[in-house]
Amino acid sequence: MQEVVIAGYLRTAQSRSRPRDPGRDWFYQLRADEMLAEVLPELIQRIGLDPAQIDDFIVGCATGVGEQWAYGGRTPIFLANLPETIPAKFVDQQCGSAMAGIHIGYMEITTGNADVVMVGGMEHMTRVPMGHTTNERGLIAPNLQLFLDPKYQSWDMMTSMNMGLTAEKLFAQTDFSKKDMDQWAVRSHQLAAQAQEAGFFEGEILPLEAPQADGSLLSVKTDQAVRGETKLEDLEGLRPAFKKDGVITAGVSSPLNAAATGMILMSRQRAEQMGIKPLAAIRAIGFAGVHPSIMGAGPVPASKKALAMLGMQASQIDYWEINEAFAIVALNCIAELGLDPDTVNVMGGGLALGHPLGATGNRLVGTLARILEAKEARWGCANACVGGGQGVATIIERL
Amino acid sequence: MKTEYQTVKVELDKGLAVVRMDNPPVNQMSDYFLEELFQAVREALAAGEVSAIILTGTGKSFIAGADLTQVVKLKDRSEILPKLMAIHEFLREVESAPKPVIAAINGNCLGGGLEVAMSCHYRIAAPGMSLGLPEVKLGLLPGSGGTQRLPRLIGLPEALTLMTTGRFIKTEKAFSLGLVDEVAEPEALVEAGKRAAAKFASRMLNLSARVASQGFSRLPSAAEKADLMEMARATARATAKNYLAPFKIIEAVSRGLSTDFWQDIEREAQLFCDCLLSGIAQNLIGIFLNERATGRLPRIQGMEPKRPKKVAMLGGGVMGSGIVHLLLGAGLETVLWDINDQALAHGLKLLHKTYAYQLKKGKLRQDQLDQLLAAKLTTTSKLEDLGEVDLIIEAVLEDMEVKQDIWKKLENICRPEVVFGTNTSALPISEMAGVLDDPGRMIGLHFFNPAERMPLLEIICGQKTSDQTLATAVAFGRQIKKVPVVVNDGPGFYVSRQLMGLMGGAISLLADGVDLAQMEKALTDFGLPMGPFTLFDLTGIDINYHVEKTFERELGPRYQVHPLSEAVYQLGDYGRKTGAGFLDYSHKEPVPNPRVVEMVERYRQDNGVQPRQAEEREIVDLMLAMAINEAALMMEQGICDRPADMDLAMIYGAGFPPYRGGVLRYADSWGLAMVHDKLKELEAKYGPRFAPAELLGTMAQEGKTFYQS
Repeated sequence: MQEVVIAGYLRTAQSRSRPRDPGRDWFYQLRADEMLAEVLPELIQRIGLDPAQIDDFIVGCATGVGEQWAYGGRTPIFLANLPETIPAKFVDQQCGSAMAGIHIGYMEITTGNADVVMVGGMEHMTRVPMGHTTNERGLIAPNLQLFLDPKYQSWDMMTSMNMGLTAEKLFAQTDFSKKDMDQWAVRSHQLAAQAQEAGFFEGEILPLEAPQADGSLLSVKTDQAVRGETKLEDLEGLRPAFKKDGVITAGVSSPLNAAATGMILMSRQRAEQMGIKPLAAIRAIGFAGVHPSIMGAGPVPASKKALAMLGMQASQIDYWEINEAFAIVALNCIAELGLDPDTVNVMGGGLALGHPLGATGNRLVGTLARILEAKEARWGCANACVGGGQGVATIIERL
Repeated sequence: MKTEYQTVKVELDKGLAVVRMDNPPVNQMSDYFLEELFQAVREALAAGEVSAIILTGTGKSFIAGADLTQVVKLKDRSEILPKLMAIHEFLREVESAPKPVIAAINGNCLGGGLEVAMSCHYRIAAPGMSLGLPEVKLGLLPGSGGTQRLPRLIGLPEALTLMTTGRFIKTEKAFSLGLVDEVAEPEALVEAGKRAAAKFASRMLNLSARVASQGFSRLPSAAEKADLMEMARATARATAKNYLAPFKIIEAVSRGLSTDFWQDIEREAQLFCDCLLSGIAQNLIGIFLNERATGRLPRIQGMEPKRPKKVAMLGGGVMGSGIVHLLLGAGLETVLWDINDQALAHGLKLLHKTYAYQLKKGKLRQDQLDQLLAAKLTTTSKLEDLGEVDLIIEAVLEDMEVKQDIWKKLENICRPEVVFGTNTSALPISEMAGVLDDPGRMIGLHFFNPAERMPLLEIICGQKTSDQTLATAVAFGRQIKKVPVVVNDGPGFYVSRQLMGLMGGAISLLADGVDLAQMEKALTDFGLPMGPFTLFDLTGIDINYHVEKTFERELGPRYQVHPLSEAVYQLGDYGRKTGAGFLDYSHKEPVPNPRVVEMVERYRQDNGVQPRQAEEREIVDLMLAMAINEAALMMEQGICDRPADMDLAMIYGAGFPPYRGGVLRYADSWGLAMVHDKLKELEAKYGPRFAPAELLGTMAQEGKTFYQS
């Protein structure tokens, strides 16, 4: 088995998407594939790689319809004018899409089928929104039997297709309070803002020139949804967003975002030959299924599977990057895996930084690798819940 | 809540308001109708008992567009803008209503009609209906939000194509584009509307997600848009350089589709004014309105035309086969006659050729064609077999005796009320009719080649043609979907003589040292499909010469053939058919024919003329002045007296550029006094061919124009 290392990681900032008010999204006039086509060549160039040596390209995206349909992953290659010899795959594992890309790349390299794999992630939630528009245009059309036929009742699709309702259901199964979630959200914004201020994210964000509604060009280099001034009282006053007597508010849900992310994986041997200092090595991957109506529980079994591959305990992991699709997802993970909250999302999480669905996987693993480097720590685990009832996890080790 | 209006009826049914638009004939958006529609919808929006509104039409249309008779009268921005803004305010209220407004598209949904439908929250259409934004064809842009809503609904590439071509699409295509949400049979439209209303009620359909002006997900990125606009501009420059509207549409889109919808709408309204106030739109709308009135002569008003069911076509040549194609297309039983079986077989071969395009494009299948021919077409070489037909069209050899011989025989075979139409392009109708006992039944039906495609039918009355015969001929023209223009008998009738009058001046300029290629370019830049010398070569220099000789003989000294024309004819290079005329066609691109060049040079030397460069203006002015003069002369001589019909005849029969409005509209915009002065100047320089018609002099003096408004 070849060892697999992360040779490079780069992303755009994560803008805040507003499908009903597009002009407020910094990236509203850029397509996700165009953004990705900016990231990839820069990433390749920064690590000094000859693009002809890339053996595979895998792009993750959760809503691969409309303009995010990518011809099997080839259009980002074309838009970036990269060599035709790079094959491509388009992967949809919903919020785990880019991490699925890492997983596939990891498997391709460990088995010796590839030496260099580039993983992309893209999602533009203003231009290709979730929900009604895509649904009503027929761009997505889930089988109606799942909603209507009693024999499928147990899937509880009305809940399972609405992420907010799955979070309500998960919350109901835990001992956490609404205030716990609000506090976690405040923490996320504060940590993210501190990290921004310290310039931590500058090391992973490629600034993009984006045309704005007033005709000006804005150089976008920070994540748009971070609000360091967020206070507990602000969040406590918010109304439930998904059901009348619910507890899940917009404040404890990740925002909608647009971003493109990129990562290059290599066999350790190739990296050494090229004189590249890897960010980290990938040591184990995990994926698991749970009931779709509590999809937020998915990271727990996925992380356990990855840990089991290495015969490790959760307590041996120095830092965790848990995708904050909702505050309750991170809290549930901490409780179920018995984690020290101070090791989780130390630079802020998805509630503040954002969660551009299919692009998030690279951000989680990439940022985690940079945290290990910054903290001079050894082990890290990144995980995410996945709509439809799944979890994905990746364990990395700083070399 | 008021339910009965003159042009709108509202039916209330369990919380549902069905608003039926009924402004015959096509639910055009006349002021009084809009007023009632706005009120009816507003009351339904305000009524507490109404939870959803279904908007539909009666008859063959949902809304077929603006009332052009009203639009064309708007002469000022300050008149146009308030009208547009009133519509926008209404559409904004519909879009932002708290209850669904559902368009049940029962018929044609065009222009403003589609713009109304696009502001509704849901669109259901009956199969096979036409939808589109045809404004560009009238020199306009969709001015009720079309340029901003259509791209948001179906994406920019498709929207641009629809708007810049004005092409219609059928319901089925509109459905696949996402312009129509659902297709339902006409009688089930309202029911489907009710089901949709229920879906809104149960939140299966989301009202705010269906507001077209807020739609964003189909708009291109900034970079995509820049590329698309560049391409659209290049296409417009290549295909519509003399027009205005395509460029204004592109501008509305290019500067629009922003986050500020209402600012984009205001810009669209200003651009609409730019279009409407331009001469181009005025000309194109004029043509559109006049087309409906062609052939409606006072002398046949109120007469009941005979409606032929069975028609005989004499002669299966190129024209004959094209006309048979038309007759079959109109569902008429057709008999093709020719002198023998061999000629008939040739005619059928030519007929099949006229269907080649439709077959190739899959618009017609071979078995359908075979079926059509078997059901509707018979052939014969015996005139005696034509006793049953209701109308005869003749396109045999252009020989007076041959034709007269046939007509004489037919007079004994056909019933007395059967109309005899001759497709001669040069022989006098009155003379031809002279052999008949009843010359009143004969009329000229002048088709243009290719008959199955050219939209004009020039109808020529002989001196004795009866009103009944004329009424039948006009109705027949409409039946076979031609624009029927009626003129009186005279050499070249109207179109051929007018075309000679338009192109003939080129010889004077050539003799005066002006470069041939320069004239070709001046006239194609003006918008004509080809320059004068290309046309002479195409028609045949010999044919032209004979026509000129006829004019000289019949119309007097003004028409004396130009010595240079005479010389070119004597050279014997007759044009394309001989491989060379003014131009030599033996190369990849036509080049000046050295034999003609040499001859022209010699002619110029003999007359002490130096070759010279002329301004495009000089060329166009000379040729148009002569054309206008010819039209005035023909009016004086009683060949024709309806300026609108004359202009349409030149647009549809000779390719005169529509945006110029026609020869006489051009004259009006030039100013008849200016035209008169120009002709005086040309007369002094080039002789009596250019002497202004008396009519022009009087009109110029009295400050009159050819068109009354």
